[in-house]
Amino acid sequence: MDIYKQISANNRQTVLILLLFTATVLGIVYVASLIMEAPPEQFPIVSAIVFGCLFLWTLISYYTGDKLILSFVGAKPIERKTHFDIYNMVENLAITAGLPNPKVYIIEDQSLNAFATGRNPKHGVVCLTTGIMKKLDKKELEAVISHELGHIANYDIRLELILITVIGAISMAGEVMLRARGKKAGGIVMAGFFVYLIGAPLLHFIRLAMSRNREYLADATGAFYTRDPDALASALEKISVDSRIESSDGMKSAAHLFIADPRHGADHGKKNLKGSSSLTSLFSTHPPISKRIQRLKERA
Amino acid sequence: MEMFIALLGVIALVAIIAVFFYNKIIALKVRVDEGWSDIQVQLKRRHDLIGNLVETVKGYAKHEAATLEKVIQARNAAKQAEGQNPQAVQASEKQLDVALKGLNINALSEAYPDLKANTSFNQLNAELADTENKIAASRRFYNTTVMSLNTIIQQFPGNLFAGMAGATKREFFELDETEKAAANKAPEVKF
Repeated sequence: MDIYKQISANNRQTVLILLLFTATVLGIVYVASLIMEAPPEQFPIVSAIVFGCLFLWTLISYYTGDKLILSFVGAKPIERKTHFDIYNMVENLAITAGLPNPKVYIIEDQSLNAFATGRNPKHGVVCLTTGIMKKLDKKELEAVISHELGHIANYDIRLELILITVIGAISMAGEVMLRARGKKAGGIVMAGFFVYLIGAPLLHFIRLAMSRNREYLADATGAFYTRDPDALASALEKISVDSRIESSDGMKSAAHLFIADPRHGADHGKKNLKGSSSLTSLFSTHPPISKRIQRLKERA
Repeated sequence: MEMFIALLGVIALVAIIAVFFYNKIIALKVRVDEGWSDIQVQLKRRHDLIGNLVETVKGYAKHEAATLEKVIQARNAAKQAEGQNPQAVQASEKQLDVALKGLNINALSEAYPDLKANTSFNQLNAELADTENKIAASRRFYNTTVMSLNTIIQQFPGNLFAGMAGATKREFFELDETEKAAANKAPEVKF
């Protein structure tokens, strides 16, 4: 599939996954109300309230989310004066992408990884490890930066933030319901079990599927900007050897933002090369690197 | 009665489609204009840098007066062409590329060690190389937007609204990248 078709296909898939997600949220509210034996006429109002609260919650984390991750991983901002080459590399790629110039941050780490954050292109941030800047050649580094710019341009960060916030809120609601006391407590606690143990994890799966889908899209978008899919493919090969970042340990929620899984690094990529672990890939925020490389190389 | 409502529905649908395409064409047209203006900004920067660079080199490379003069002339011509249509700008920039290649700044700095040691010269050279990259980047973006605009105003139903939106087919902006004398080669287009 050529790059244009890949981009369209990925966008279509996003819509489908989003619909699935919304339907699942509605489904969870419905089943929970059934368990609690709430009268069915209340369903529309209850859904409206739930969606209203989720929306408010999301709005709050939307505006505070991006600064958090940068301080978590110990990323430091750089300027054009001190890092002329890398700063210009990012700026020039942003020009090609038609994006406002993002801020550039660096993580002192030998592993090869990169991520993008920022709730919209105006507040875009690209972060690179010192390892990746050293070990990739110019074309490969440009390909990686373009991939990250692709995330920013496609508003992936915002999308993920929304999904994670919704899941978090629903999960918390489930937890709260588990602690219900009083007359009708039985039903509420049962519903709480359902929401917390079944509903939230289900949403989590969907969100992981979305994350993988957006990674493919960012690969295709990045390749489109540079007109050089092979450079990204070769960069991914180098990255698959070592993408683990120690400082990101314990950061489950942000793992998806990195170009390669920062929690597992090498093993994750190698295992999937054997094709035996389609199950583990369901749990992963990133598609298997071998598959990503394959898609990039198919340009027919 | 039903006929009337159905007719109203069809008219509403057509109106919605019309507004959608009209607005999309306008948005793309504005983007193309913006893309072109960004290229102009980079080209102006290039002309200014070349002017400064030549001034710096003049002091050190006294035997190169003739080639330097050629560069200045080409650069002045390019400055004159600023703000004109893509074809005119393309032509004058290509002339400037040829003149710069004749000057061969890298060989010059090797031949005149004093020049090579001069910090202004090195800074200007680095800035010029970066500007060449920025020109390539904004050129690529511009051409992408031109492609989108040209496609939508030639396809149906965009072609119906192109005239209304004041949109015409735009030219691509091509520079022969192998002619560049800058230290950094622009990335190869492999597609």
